[in-house]
Amino acid sequence: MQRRDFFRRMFAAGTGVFTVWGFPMRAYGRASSLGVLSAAADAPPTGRVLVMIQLQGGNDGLNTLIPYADDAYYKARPTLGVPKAELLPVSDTLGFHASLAPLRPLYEEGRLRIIQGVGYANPDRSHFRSTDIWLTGSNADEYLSTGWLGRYLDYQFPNFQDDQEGDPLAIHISPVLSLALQGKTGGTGIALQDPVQFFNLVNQGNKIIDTGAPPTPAGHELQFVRQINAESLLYSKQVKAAADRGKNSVPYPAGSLAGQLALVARLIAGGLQTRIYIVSQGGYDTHATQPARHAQLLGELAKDIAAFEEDLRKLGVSDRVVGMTISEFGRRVKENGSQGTDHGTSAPLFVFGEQVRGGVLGPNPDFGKLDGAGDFVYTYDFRQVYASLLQQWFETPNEGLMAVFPKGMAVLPLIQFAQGADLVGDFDNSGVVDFDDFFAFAQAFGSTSPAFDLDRSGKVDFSDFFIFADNFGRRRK
Amino acid sequence: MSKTHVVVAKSGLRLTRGIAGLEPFVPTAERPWDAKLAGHLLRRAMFGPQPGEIAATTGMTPEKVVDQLLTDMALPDPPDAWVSEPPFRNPTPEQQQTYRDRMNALRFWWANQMLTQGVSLRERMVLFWHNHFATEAKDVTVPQLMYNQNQTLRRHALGNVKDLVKAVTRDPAMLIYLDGRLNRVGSPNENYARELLELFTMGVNNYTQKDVAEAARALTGWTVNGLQAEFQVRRFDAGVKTFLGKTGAFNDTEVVDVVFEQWQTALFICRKLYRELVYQEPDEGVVAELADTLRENKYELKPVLKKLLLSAHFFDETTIGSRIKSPIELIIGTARALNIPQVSPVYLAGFAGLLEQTLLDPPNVAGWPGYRTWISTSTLPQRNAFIDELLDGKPRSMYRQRFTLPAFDALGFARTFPAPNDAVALVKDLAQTLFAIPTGDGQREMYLNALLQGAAVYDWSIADARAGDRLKALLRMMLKLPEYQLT
Repeated sequence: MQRRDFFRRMFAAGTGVFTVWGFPMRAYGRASSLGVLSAAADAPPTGRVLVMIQLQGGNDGLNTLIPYADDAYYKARPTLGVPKAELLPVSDTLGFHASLAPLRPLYEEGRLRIIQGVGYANPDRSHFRSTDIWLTGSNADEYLSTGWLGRYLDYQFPNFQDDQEGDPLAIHISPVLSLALQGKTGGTGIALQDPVQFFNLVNQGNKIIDTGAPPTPAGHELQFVRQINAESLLYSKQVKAAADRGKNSVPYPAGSLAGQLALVARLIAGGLQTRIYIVSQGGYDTHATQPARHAQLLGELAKDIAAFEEDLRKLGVSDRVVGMTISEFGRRVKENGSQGTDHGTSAPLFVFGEQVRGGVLGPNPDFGKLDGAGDFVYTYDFRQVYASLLQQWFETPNEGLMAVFPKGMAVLPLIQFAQGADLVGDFDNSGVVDFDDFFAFAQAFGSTSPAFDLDRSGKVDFSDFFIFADNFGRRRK
Repeated sequence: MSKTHVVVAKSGLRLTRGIAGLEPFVPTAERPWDAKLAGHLLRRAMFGPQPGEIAATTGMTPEKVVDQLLTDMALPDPPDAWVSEPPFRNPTPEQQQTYRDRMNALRFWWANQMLTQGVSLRERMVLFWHNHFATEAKDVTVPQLMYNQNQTLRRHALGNVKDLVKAVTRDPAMLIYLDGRLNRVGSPNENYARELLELFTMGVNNYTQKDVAEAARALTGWTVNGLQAEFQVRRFDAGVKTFLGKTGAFNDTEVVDVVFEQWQTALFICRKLYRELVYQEPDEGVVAELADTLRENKYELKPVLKKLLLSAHFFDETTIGSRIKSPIELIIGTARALNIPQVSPVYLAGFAGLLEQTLLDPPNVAGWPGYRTWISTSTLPQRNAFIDELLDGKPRSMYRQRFTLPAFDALGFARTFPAPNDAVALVKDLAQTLFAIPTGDGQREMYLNALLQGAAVYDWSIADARAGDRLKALLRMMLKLPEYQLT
């Protein structure tokens, strides 16, 4: 593919300039990422589920995945810095917070993907605003009324509102529906806290009055509201039936998040065809006395995820489920004066599941390259993670990705690839990503050579290097 | 029951509607001026009455009530001194944040006007005009300008429509939003001209593209300087224009004058008013009569509003309870109906946003589509979640970190009714206050059971230890019925 040709096609596809899609699911690699541009919008593979865990308040990423080999870390965190002896090393430079011990087996089995430095340009440090940005998938200066998942579901299931037999497309375990699930014409999912309560709540309204409405304007509108009520009722029945059918196979820890994840596992095992679940864990706004609170929160998160994964395995559905954590921002690099941290910028993000491609992606936080406020500059836009999951997990074609993120997003390898897919980084086609490929890559570094521009950003840079490094040593199966 | 006939609406739907027209409604023994009809008037003219307001209104004549609704009032004080500060030049990120914070403060201020207004049609009409001359704060960005526009709408809310359109045409927020400030001689921008005709006055298909282009020329010359609209003569196209069959060297006010010579303009505006105050499917005969009244009165609104709000058509049995509540009506109206006006307007305005109606940010220049788009399988349960939050005094939504809600005093609320210790009377009074649609015997029986939970009627006393919980359970059930979404 000639570069000129590449851009021409990009423009033809209506994208912006330098951020475009790379890494198509089935034609992964340098061969031809553009083959999928014209791919038809097939239905997504059935049964695949995405669970988004929202860590509310802004998780301290720096004390979650700790760059313990960097003195700058301990300088910035004189009281909060986790000593090397207390953390769980996962590499020569990185360690888990000790509370994340329950996630370590997942990591070692390659079922945990950690993407470092996830954030966005001109980060907003307001909880509410930044949460909106993460949920809508907007730029910092852009106000969207639809959520990224809502736009995806609008694209993938344009007629879902007419399909009254179907299960809800998305469920937010919450009293109010997440902004992430707002579509063009309203919510694309339902909000519920507990299937029984949802069932009762909806059912209550309907049972009380079953007299036919007169054909007057008021009767006509009443009929309409009852119809919507009945649809909620239908969903509530299906949800309750699935919750009744599904049984958790392992005990879960106590606590809210565990309860939410246990419910999600039950609904999946109970046969609900819902694609997307959103759950949340509050309390990450650790401005003061952070160590104990943060340890407790991370411990809860890790134990709950581990129980969830074990449950899914025993229930025989773990192949169908991928989870992701998001949080509106990380904390400041420097601790504050009250044993806490204030609102910061980028942070690591977890993606987990049987089909996930394990390992850490991206460079460690760079203390030498901080922003004006003294905080980290993001490496990956959070929307790259979203786009990658849509593309590789839901197999959303480019057209659909454009519907969600009209300006395009370079994608990252997050999910294991289908058999027969090309090996990324095997530039010489030797069947293994080795030093020959490394030298070829090093030669091309800094150029715009499309063959080495693995994330299709228009430039062969460190971002490509990390993708290359991620593949180093892999062999064609 | 009033006389009815079957009408086939544009949607193909067959509707039974009253045959009554704009002749004045006269109370009769069969349909007396009671809490039901007075409640209907207040529900439609306000965001929802407080129970005491309905009671007070039944003691007045309909004419007196409508006079009160249409009485001019002084403009409210601004939210803060920033409203008259000059705008930032090239605002820094911090200043942009200040703008967004102030825009929110303005939303809350506005919600507070709605919450605390007395028996008046004004705030209802301010929101109506905001939706009509829809302007998005996120594009205008300068909160002072949105405040000024809001006050302009308030000043003209019950006044003269033609004056209002002239004022909006020179409104700085509108000049920014629809690019009027970029419209100059030799380089016309048709954005405002088109919406002026299409959305604000005449409606589509009543003018040509040539009319739009000629109107754009006449609208040149206006720009924004600080907080003021400014006319710069060198930007104005002083040439002769031919617009809607008239020829002259028109400027902006003359273009509006020509627009208001069109019969379609009065019809378009009255149809929209009808949809706001009566029902979504207009009775075209009634609309035409209202349009005549508007023209006869040189576009003064009060005679039209008075005629409509006192008409047999407005009070017809088939009109009552036929409107789907907007989020603002539901939220502000519920806080008012439950007599808890001290609830934070920040919370209320925020929840309205969750239900798809963020004040000052309609989805686009066409405003909120409203009507049935307000209700979905997700917004309906969310509306119900709002009821729970208000009754429990516990915000569980995304706002929980920021607010405490006042505890709802169910017993205090019950005591505002004439016979709180008479379970049968209390249930009847509650139903009358909370629902526009009349409640049948069967439903009252159901409410009574929910209140008593197995106890006998004579057991009921608000002195009972669990009386508050029982009342809350009853209100929770009532306010989540589909009927409650209608007004």
